[in-house]
Amino acid sequence: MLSLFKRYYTIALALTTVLLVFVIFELVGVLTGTMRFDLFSRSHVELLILNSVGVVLVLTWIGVYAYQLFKQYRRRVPGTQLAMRILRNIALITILSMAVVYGFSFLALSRGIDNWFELQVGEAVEEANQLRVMIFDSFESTIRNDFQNVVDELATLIGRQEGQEFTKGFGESVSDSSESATGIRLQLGEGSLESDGIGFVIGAGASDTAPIGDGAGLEPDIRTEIFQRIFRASQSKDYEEVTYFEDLTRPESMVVSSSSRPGTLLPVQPSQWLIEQHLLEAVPGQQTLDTRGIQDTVEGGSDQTQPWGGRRSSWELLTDDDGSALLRMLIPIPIAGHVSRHYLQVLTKLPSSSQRLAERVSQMNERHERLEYLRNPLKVSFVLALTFVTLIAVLLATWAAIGLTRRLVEPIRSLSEGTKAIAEGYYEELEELSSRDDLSVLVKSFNDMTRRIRQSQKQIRLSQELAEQHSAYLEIVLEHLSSGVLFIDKDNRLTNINLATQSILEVSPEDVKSVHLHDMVKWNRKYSPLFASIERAIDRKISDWSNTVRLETEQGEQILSFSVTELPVPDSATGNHVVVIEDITALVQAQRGVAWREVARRMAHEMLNPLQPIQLAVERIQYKTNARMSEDDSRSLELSFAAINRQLNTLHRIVKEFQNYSKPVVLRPVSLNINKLIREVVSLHDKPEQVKEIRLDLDPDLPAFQGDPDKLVQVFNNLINNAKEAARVSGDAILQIQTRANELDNIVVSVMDNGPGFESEVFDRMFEPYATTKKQGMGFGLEIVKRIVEAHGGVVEAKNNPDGVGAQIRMEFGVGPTRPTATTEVLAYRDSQQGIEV
Amino acid sequence: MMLTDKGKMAMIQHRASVARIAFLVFACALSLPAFGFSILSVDATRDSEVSVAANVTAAIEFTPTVIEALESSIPITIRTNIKVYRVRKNMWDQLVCEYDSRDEVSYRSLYRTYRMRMRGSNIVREYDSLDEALGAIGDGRLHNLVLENAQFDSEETYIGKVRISLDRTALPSVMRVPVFFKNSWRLQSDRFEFDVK
Repeated sequence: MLSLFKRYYTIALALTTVLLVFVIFELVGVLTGTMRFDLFSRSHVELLILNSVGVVLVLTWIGVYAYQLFKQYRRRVPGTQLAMRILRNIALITILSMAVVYGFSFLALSRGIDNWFELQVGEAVEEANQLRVMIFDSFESTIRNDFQNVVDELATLIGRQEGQEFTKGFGESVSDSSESATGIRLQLGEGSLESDGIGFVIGAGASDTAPIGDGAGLEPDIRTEIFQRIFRASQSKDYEEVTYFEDLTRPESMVVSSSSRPGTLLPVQPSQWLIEQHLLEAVPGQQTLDTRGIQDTVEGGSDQTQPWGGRRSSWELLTDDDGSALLRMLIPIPIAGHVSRHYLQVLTKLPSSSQRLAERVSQMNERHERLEYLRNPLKVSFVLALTFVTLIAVLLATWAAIGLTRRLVEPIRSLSEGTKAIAEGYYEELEELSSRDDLSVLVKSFNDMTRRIRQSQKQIRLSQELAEQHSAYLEIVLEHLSSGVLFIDKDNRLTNINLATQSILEVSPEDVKSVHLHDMVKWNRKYSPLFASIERAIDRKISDWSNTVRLETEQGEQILSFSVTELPVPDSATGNHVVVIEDITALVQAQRGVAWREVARRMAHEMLNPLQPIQLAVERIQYKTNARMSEDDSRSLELSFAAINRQLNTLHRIVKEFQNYSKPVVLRPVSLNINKLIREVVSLHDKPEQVKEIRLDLDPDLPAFQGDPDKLVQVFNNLINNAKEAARVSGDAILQIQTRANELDNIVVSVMDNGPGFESEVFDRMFEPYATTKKQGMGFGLEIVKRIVEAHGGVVEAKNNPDGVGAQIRMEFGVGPTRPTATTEVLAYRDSQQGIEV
Repeated sequence: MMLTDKGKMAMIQHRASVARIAFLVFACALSLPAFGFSILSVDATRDSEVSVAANVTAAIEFTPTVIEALESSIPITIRTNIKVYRVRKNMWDQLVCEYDSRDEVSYRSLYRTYRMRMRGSNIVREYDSLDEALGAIGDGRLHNLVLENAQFDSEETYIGKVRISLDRTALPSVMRVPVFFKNSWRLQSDRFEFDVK
């Protein structure tokens, strides 16, 4: 929701700005009362509705934000507590202050508007009206005075004709007069004007009369008399027009009229309003009049029809064609002292000063009326404007509070998220603030800290990678090391072993993982001396200790050299001690061979030196004594010399074998076919008296082989001789020689016999010198075979056949180039450094 | 209490229904039927290639509320809106001319007369009664319409639409909001369609 808020914050901002502009126009329009902008003037209401919708939208937006903030506050999102506090305080301050301002403004507006109308303005207008009425009343008095005599004379004239009809009162014989009216026509000088309707115009000098209208129910003489009277009166006082109405309820009943208005054909009829005023006065209590042209209901004494403040008027104003104002007055003509429907209408022009005054007062009055009418709408508009102003102020304050809150809280939230990210291992720097306040300093410090941690972590990672590389390197070295390595923790438990250890001790890491040394002692009796010795070394707390143990195995003697070293820095992964084990059985055997060869060489040398002088001396003695001695003595002596020579020959053979044994193997390799070489050797031994059968099982697809043919011939001779001798023990000697190429393309040669097999007591020392069961022979044959095969880079092993009949010697030669020198001599370099524990 | 999906859907539909009803009520309030004015006849004739003379006869009557405002010196403006369209097949008719005439009626309390002023011109007339003033506006009033950027094609068909209404936008600004929702101030005729000969 926060992201949503961020996304729509700009939209809300733009919306509020537009709203603000609209509201400002709205307020200007309302407060000034005139819209300068036509668009806003014509769309006033729509603008107001739009503003209301906008205010609601912004309020909704603020409400949603507040709700989301409250939810985050309950979830304890960092920064929301501060945000809530700021928003709450600002909102409280704003609402309280704006409520006070709104309340006072509302009262001031209401009271102020009421006071404007109720006090000064209304009273002034009323007084102006009264003043104007007083002025017009003075005109009325003047006119009434001017026409008092005329009215009296007309009353006498009319009363004379009507007699008692008019004395009965108003309204009793109206219909008759209308029906009997005939009208008159007045001549104007030489010409005449004839009206088709109800009125006429008459000028000075009229001397004749004619019927007009429908209200001329009087005698012609009387009408003429009336006209003369009103004509004289109008001329004497310079009145615009004077008209006599026989029946005011019917304006068309005008009888005679005198007018000085140029271009006017018919007299001006009184307005319905003025007629109404007089008739209501004439008949008190009558609420409505059934008069033509008066449609509206009229209430007597009502202000609605009394523009001059509830007072019935006998006059009214009207505008002339030239725009000047005329005062029209109706003067009743009482007949015999009673109210009648006979009226005189007098029109007189107002003085220009009075007209201007009347106009201005009228305008002021209209303005006042308009304002009075607009009073409530004005209050509504002002209150509306005030409400909008207040709402906008609150919205602005809230808006500012939200902006301020975001500005304050956002860095705090970023810091919190940054801290959490660091805790999770992410070292991203925060976006720095553009401001230069405390928060920006805090963010900068945080970023510095993050940068340093990241650099440290990078260095640690590099070191770790280096250590891992080193560890991997060590692991590879350990795995490919011919020496076995064991790691033992502080509790004397094995933690790890390398590949060589698995080979030497014939165990897997899973078997010995976390196994105590004490249990390892019990685990395999064969290795008990080793682990007992290791445990003893650790218990003695010797930091670096070496020793050798001799173990008896099924394959023979196994000699292990080991060293126990305490690690300087204990590690839970590796342990506290490291043990290096080396199988030195072959080394010891090689050392033994070297020693034996040295012994043989010296013995041959020491034996050969006296043998030759002895043999020469024996021959000399035999030569000198042979001639001097008798035949019997000589024969007997011959036998003695023959015995001496045989022993000397035996000694020579022994010396010769010693010499051969002590010589190093020096190869002169050439490419050869090993099958062909075997056939050549076999042809020398394939004699029936020596062997019954030599079977050849030779693989014709053997690869080419680099070897010394002389040495190899020696090997095969030795092996065949041994096999023949062994096979002869069991009767018919049958040998089998087999060649194969294995999966590594190495050449495997096996020599098998059907003899009794190897005895167990010599099995362990099969390839050692003097290891023989033959009566004749020094036991150098297999040892020489071994040395030659190893000089060719091969291996040799001896074993009894699985079926229990005979034995076999198996040799495996590599097909690569053979080194020209022997290799077995180099193994005795540690003789003086190793002690042997028996 | 947890709501099921059906319950949530029902609640959402209920809220949508309430919102829809509220909107319809609001829309109805804004489009309440108008009364008071009616157009009786229009006689429109093309007097040149670019002008039309339209003689509009209408019955115009104010409500008591409007009369009260008028007699309280609030000027009332009557707007006559005429539009002339070129009839097109399978398409909306093309507006070729729009004409607005505004007549302001005011009351002069000093003389108790009704003044009719044609806005946009200097013609001012005084009438003794409101009926006379309104009759002057509605009884065969002649309006001259001039096309600005087009001219009549003799082979085309043209129709006109006219409406007479009380122009509430011409009222004093403080009155516009209160009268906006009052039926007594919603005085306007239906749109009257006529042929332009």
